[in-house]
Amino acid sequence: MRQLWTAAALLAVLAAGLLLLGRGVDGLVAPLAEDLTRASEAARAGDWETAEALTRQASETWEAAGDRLRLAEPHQSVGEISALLEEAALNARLRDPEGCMAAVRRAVRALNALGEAERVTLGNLF
Amino acid sequence: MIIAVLRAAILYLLVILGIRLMGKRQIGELEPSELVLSLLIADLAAVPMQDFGIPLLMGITPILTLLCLSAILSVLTVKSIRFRTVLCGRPSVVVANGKILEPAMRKNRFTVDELMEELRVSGVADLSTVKYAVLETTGRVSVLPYAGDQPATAKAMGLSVREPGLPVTVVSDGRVVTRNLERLNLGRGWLDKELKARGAASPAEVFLLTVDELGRVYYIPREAGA
Repeated sequence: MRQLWTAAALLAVLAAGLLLLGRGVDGLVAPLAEDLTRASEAARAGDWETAEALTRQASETWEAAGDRLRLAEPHQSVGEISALLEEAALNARLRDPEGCMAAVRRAVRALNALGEAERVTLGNLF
Repeated sequence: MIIAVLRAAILYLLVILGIRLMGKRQIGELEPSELVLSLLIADLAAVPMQDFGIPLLMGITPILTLLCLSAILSVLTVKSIRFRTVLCGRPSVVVANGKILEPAMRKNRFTVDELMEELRVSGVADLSTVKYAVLETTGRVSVLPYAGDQPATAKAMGLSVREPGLPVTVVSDGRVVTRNLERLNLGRGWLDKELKARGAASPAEVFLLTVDELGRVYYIPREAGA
């Protein structure tokens, strides 16, 4: 019976750890997506300082969390989002509204997909 | 590319640990759930080993999950006969009193060709000598011949023979297995005497030395230059 309880405990710890990890990713992704959406609105309104600040901050936050993210997420996904955030920040610096909004849109979609993949949903299970 | 070496080593050790935890079974005698586990673990380990873009955690997590589930199922199998039947099935008698039981063969989707093959592997060429043949849950067939067709035993012939001892390894590849020496209540003094009697100066010159319960020693020296 000891073997059974040990295995059950290990399974519970594994599941709890991974749930926390998923929550952590979600906790990182959701605020970033919000900031990027605000950056996009700022770019549309012509407020380039705000747009540049928000996109640069989002890019730096993502880079800072990169190593942790690569522990649990496909490296390609993490790299793609890095590239999209850099592109959005660059377009904001260059005052290119369409480029900035397009990059932000793609980055938000990628971030939401990453966060969605960590949720326990029927779609993800099946 | 050193990453490839490290990832491969981590996953390899994890798979070995998993196989070790499965217990002392040969591959050919695995229950269905254990066979599935072996195949899955091998595939799960291979994916992150080849693709560095996939985190190690994505290989380790499912492997650990499967190992835990396997341990839980194996304990439940031991504790509950009903659970064991659900998971492993029941053995089926396919030959009884020399006759092939066709309903049992059909139920198990077991062909006559497969039955004959298993009988030959068991050393039985003539079906008429088989009293019972049982298709085990592992897929192997156990054969019980008629009493008259079984190999003669010393007991059947009324002979009295000495019980054989179980050989225990005392020296393996030059190293003394102290645990076994103690289990046999033998000391280094006894070992040194036996080695001297066989012309060996030390255990390092011995490839294999076993002792059984009757005190019989089996000795193989190391080859020169090995």
